[in-house]
Amino acid sequence: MSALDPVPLLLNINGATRRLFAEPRRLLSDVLREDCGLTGLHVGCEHGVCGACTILLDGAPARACLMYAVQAQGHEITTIEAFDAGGELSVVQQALHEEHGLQCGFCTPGIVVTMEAWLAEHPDPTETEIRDALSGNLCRCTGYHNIVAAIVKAAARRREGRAT
Amino acid sequence: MTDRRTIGAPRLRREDYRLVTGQGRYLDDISIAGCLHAHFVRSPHAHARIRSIDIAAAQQAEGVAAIVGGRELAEWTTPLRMAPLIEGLRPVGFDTLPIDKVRFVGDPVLCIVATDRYLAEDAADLVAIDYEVLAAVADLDQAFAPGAALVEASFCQQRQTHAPIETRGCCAIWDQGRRHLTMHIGNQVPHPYRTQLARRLKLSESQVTVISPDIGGGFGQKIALYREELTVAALARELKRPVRWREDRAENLIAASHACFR
Repeated sequence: MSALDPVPLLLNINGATRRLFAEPRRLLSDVLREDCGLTGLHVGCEHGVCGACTILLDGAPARACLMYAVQAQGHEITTIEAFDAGGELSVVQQALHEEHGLQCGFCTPGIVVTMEAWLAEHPDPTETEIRDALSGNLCRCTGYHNIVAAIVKAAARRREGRAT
Repeated sequence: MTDRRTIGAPRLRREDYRLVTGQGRYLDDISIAGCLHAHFVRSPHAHARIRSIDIAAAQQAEGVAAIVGGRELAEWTTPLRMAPLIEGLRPVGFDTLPIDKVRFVGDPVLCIVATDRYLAEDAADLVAIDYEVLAAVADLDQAFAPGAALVEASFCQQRQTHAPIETRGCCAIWDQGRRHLTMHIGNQVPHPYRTQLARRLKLSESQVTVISPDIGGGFGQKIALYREELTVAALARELKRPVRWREDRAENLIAASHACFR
């Protein structure tokens, strides 16, 4: 047996337990996308800069491309696939749609995951704070204005306790 | 009377639901059973002659299906030739992969195909390429030396690249029974792309289908037929196996098209 041989993994993904085998060197992003079929997170840079692969690890945003899958054992992993429960868009998803806060959509899942978690901790942010929180998610299409407008709208709706 | 409910009114996009919920289908989201993965070994030099290439160890590495370079591709494909009828514009020719000389940092010298991307990159570490580094065409002193060619013009354009958030990539499937190529590629111009791809593989257009799924930005970078894509398509045909490629960000920044400082 070599250090490259697959090892058994037990991952908790979106509330369900998943058993699989993966080489210790396999990135969490590759295991989630290729072994688990969860292709909603995207790999844009593979070194933690672009934010397109953002997931929640025990509720906090994390880069799936900067972790090995073996390191995620014992933690709760939440991916974009868990954010439209019952087919209803989350507050951030709905606001991005209404404000045209996306074009190609490649970066969008990472922005949804990041902002849903961030708004839970920062319910009444200023626009400057929103821009600062968004700085870890690169978007090449929109120029950010409409994303910021969407987050402003989403924050207001969350405070009022409504989804739309 | 004309119905003006739409004109002048903001319209919500119809494609957003799948994109905001992570159900978009970009190139790398498309799963193809039995697919091999391509990885390119690139030149670390801006200008060098290839003295020798030793792939013996890499060929023995786990999971490696093929390692090919410029000589193989010259048999399977035709070189790029661009000769627009513009006065003063010289024709440009490019081998599909370099045969004896590399011309920029990132020039793809070899393509390694293996059962997964990790193994293809492992094998790349075992390749030994001996380069004779060549001088640049001219340095500043030479350019200003007496008798040097003098060209006067005044215009300026910063160096730039498109940097789409989704890097380049493709998946080529060759159907040997039908002698037909299906190319999955996020591309901005699938029809002219098919024309180019067919011609350079020495196929008719009716033998090539180009499928462009969701595309993670292009900004003009996903128009031309790249040498890497042509190589992957040729390899799918030669190996009679689906072959896919998805470059990493470093490759995108050094080897995808950009506009130089002008």
